[in-house]
Amino acid sequence: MSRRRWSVWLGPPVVLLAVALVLSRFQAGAEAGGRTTPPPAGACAASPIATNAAGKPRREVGPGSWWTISDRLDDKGAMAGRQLAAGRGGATAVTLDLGIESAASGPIGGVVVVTTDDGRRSEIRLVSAVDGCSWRVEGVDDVVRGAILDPGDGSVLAHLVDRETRADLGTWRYGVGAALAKPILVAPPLMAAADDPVWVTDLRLDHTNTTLAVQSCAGEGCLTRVFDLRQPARAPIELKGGQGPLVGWSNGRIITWAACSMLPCAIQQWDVVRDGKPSVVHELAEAAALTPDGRYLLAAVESQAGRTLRIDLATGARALVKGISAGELPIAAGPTATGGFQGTPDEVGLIAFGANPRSFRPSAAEVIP
Amino acid sequence: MISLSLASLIRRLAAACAAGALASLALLAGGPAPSTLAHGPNPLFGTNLWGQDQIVGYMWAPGAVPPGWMAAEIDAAAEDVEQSRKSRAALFQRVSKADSKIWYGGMWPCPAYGIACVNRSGAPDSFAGMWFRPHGWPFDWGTLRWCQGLAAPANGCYDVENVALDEFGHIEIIGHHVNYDDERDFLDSIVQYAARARPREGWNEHVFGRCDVARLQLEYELIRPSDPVSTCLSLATSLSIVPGSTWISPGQTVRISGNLKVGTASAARSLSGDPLSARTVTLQRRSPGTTGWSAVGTLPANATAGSYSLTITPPQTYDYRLVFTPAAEGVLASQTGAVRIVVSACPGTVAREARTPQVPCQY
Repeated sequence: MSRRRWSVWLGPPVVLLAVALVLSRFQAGAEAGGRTTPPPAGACAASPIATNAAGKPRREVGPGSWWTISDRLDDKGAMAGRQLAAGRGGATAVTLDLGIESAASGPIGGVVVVTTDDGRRSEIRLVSAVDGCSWRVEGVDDVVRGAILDPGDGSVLAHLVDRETRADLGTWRYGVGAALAKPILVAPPLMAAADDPVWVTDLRLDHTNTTLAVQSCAGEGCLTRVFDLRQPARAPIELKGGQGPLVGWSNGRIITWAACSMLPCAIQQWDVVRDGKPSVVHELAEAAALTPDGRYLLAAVESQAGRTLRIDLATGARALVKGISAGELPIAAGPTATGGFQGTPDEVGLIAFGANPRSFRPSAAEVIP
Repeated sequence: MISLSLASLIRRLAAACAAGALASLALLAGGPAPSTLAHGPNPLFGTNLWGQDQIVGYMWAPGAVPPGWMAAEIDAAAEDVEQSRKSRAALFQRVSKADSKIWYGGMWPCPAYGIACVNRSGAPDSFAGMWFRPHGWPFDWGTLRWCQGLAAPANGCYDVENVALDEFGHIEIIGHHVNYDDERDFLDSIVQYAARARPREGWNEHVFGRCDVARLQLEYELIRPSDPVSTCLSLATSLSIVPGSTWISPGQTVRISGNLKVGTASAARSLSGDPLSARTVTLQRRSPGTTGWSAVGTLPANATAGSYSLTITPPQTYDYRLVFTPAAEGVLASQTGAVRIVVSACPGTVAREARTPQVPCQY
């Protein structure tokens, strides 16, 4: 029997096994919420996610919040750890030392989701860029590679790999506080071959918080599985072929880079519902970000000169815009992002090396004739 | 530079997910696959060339300076460019101040799954940057190890000099090599989409491969006309013959010259029409009316590039032609048409009209 056919037959059982394995390692209880233990210094007294009367997260809280993450190297140039800084406007509200294997996402509602691993155990934390405190959501025996906030209910979606084998363990939903007694598998692991492993996994929720894109990238590009979170039993839609890292969602379409390993590179859009095929949005870009409303794509086309293109994804109109300095880049979200910014739905964040992120509103930018 | 093969990942992903994919769309999208055929010269990456032999200065990015063990290897890769470019491609030299910067850690504008990458925007004045992930960077599969960052190289580590040379290749203008499916031609190029970790074959190559060189020669020309053309190419050549005279008296000498160059063709890019020196160009002859050619001799090269000549004393009237036979390089053989050199004692005007030696002088 061929290797391919073995994969087909063994796939589902292996997925189930992985699910069982992760569940068996789940550490429920007091550590999840911190309610029964006094918060350590710098810890939030309660979850930093602000909610409305209906208990839903208020994502509009904390506009202008940002985070940056920097590597700490030892005297031989090897990774020794990382440090997160988060704040709002020009002020840094909190810094947090993290393990080598760490990541951040957001902010949403002024809250940054942070994952960090100490070599034995991973933690998922919510860090308030406004209040300057940190709240532990969960501790996990396996390695949490990255996580995002679900603004729909305030839970966290986290991607895990096995600590020993580094095998994909899938994407799990963790509740904040006691909202979820146990994590729920929302996207099963990808069964990549041992000699052809996945390098990076990225998670993106669409604007309705009901569709999750899980992108797995290997050496020559990426594959995105699109899960309908309202229908867990439904098989994901797969987008593949010449695909690079995710940029984000835009009105039912997924924006990605092409499968480049160098810059500049093309940006593509994938119509998830209609045909799942890519079309080129822009041929050569050096950095790109979407406004949270998915309307505008801001693409650096010559970053050394600050030349940046605004593309209206609704109309296709494009124009070079003023107001961006040389070396400033649109902030790219993702598992290896080094910064994040929370603006209004029509803003993106810009970042330059060594500087705090700032906002930029493409729709209001002055156009270069 | 990233690693491993997505094609195989995609195949395996498709297989692994097949059981649960009954309701999913079967999507095969046409990505930005290069149109270059496998085993040909590497495709282009970008459009703006550097000047021939231009020295491009680079410096370490402030705040993201590589450690000593990596800096030395990057500098070594810059030297590898000079040693193995076999063309007039740009040279790279570290200087104290430059617009072109190389980063170790810090901001990472490149794809998340990369271990190193470049942005060649700014050519031919500078390049926007070259970035290396720091030693110990975690990926889903595990931890990035640079071989030179280890006390002793271990399997699975990546060679800095190899990866840096790949990146300098991109900056020159070389795109990723299009390998055969089984990658049997992997060593034809160091500018690969997927770097190989120790101890896979090619993990520590420190010279441009022949198909890298092919692209460099196509864009930047040969250093000297006498240099061989990369065997990754297969360029037509053009050979002309210029006899000093087409009639001579018995016992007279005649100088036969030839000019060899790369054929004029858009596919030959900057090499189109370039002279080829120090090649083997032979003179052949046949009796008029016969078909078999025999060798007369090899034409020595002249001082002028691509020019060859030989002086002979034809014993009788013959047809002559020149033949270029390439030796282990990426150009094709060529030959000239035949020219007849009449050997006749008749006065010139009459001899010029003589069609064969048997035609007697007519008055």
